[in-house]
Amino acid sequence: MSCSENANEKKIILVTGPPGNGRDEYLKDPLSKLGHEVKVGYYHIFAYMQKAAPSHGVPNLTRENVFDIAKSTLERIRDSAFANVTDEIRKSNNQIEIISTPAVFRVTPWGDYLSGRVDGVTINHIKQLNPTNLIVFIDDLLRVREQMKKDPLREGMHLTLKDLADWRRSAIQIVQEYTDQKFPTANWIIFAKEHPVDTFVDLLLGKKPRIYLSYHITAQQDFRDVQRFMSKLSSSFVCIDPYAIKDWDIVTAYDKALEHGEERQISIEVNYRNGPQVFSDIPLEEIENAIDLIRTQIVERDFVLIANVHATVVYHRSENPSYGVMAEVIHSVTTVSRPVYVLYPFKTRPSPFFEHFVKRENIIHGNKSIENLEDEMVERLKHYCETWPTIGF
Amino acid sequence: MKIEEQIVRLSKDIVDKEIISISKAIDVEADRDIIEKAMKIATDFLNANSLTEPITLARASFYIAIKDSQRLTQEGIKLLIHNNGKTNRWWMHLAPLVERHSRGR
Repeated sequence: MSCSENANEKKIILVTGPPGNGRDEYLKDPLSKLGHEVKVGYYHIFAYMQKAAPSHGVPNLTRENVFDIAKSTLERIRDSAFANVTDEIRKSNNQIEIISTPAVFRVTPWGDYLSGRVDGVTINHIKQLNPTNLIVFIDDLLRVREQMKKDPLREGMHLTLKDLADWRRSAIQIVQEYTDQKFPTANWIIFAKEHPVDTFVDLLLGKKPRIYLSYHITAQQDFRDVQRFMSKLSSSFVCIDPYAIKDWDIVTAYDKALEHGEERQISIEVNYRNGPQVFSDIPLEEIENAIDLIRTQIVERDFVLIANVHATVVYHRSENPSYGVMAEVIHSVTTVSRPVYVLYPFKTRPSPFFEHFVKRENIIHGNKSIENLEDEMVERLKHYCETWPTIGF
Repeated sequence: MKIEEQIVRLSKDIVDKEIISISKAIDVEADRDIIEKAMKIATDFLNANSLTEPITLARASFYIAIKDSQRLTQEGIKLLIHNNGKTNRWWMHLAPLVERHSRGR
């Protein structure tokens, strides 16, 4: 089963995003796994900048001194790095080429860098690379905030949640601007670090159909059933999980703090795949300044994800409706016309309003055990996925 | 009249108005072939997918109708994204699907 028309053609994949999101660290495992299946090339732009720097009068380019260099020199070094990578890719016979670089930096405004912004990649660089796929790699804001606090190079920058949300938005905008110009030949997707490495490998290989798993998140504590279902789906599908970005937890914690009143700082506990992590002493005011951006990004991101998958699968774990699930179903059906399948593990049928948007034959409900219903859904998806209208794109 | 039929009829009106509006913005208003082709592509898709959002469908159908004529510039794509000041990039995700449908898959 292959979902890509160009499955046998060389893929050039640009993995970018805001810095400090763990992109390069995350890429290590997928690269090693991919290497067992296909010939893969990896190009870390900063490493190429370090190689090019001496010929531009900078003998030793490091993370520490990179923004001490005159901006025009730095841009020439960066341009050389992209040119060298493009040249190597042209000459190589790898099946998959992966280029990794941050999209945009925020720096302390001074001298040449008064705007406080430095582009890690420009539209012209992307045009030069001519990627078949672009991945905006992100992590949730709390983990990035923590990472930034630990980074000695960003000491004194006092990056707030709003800065980080803005930063993330700038990275997405660069990619979006490029894909607007290259439509219809460039595909892009936002990918969250919290996804298992195998999901990323499957995404890069492009052989399995992609599905978006929609489920109740608000007011839910236990996601073990979702994890189990996701694991079953993952053997045949690239399963995109909207809750791999934990920004929802900021919204929930903020709302709870408002309900209780009085608190000026809050702690937020987030459950990651590798266990819980507590983020302490976050000023409520900092969240308040970022909350509109965070809430908007949750919706925008999930809708973009739906547009970039072949089908949406709803795991309707509660008899109560969910605004999020309903909005995702409506978006899937009305805006991007993706097939929607629903696992509704109750004897009764879902609301007629829900059924208005989802074909009856795509809903599995009944009083069998949840695990049996999950297996039934996986089999149904495997049976019908070849007929999904965007398979082949 | 069934609710689906009502939705299709209302959507069809919105689709036609949007296609006319885009044709003016891109300055192909006089080219009836492109406009009629776009409207037919949209109607066929709407008949099979009654719930499709009409503005998105109109822009996707217009793109398919005009793309082979060499008259769609990069500026034209921008106008398709931002027509009437209403930004909509979703049509880019819908277009391949509408095109496949119009070719009978």
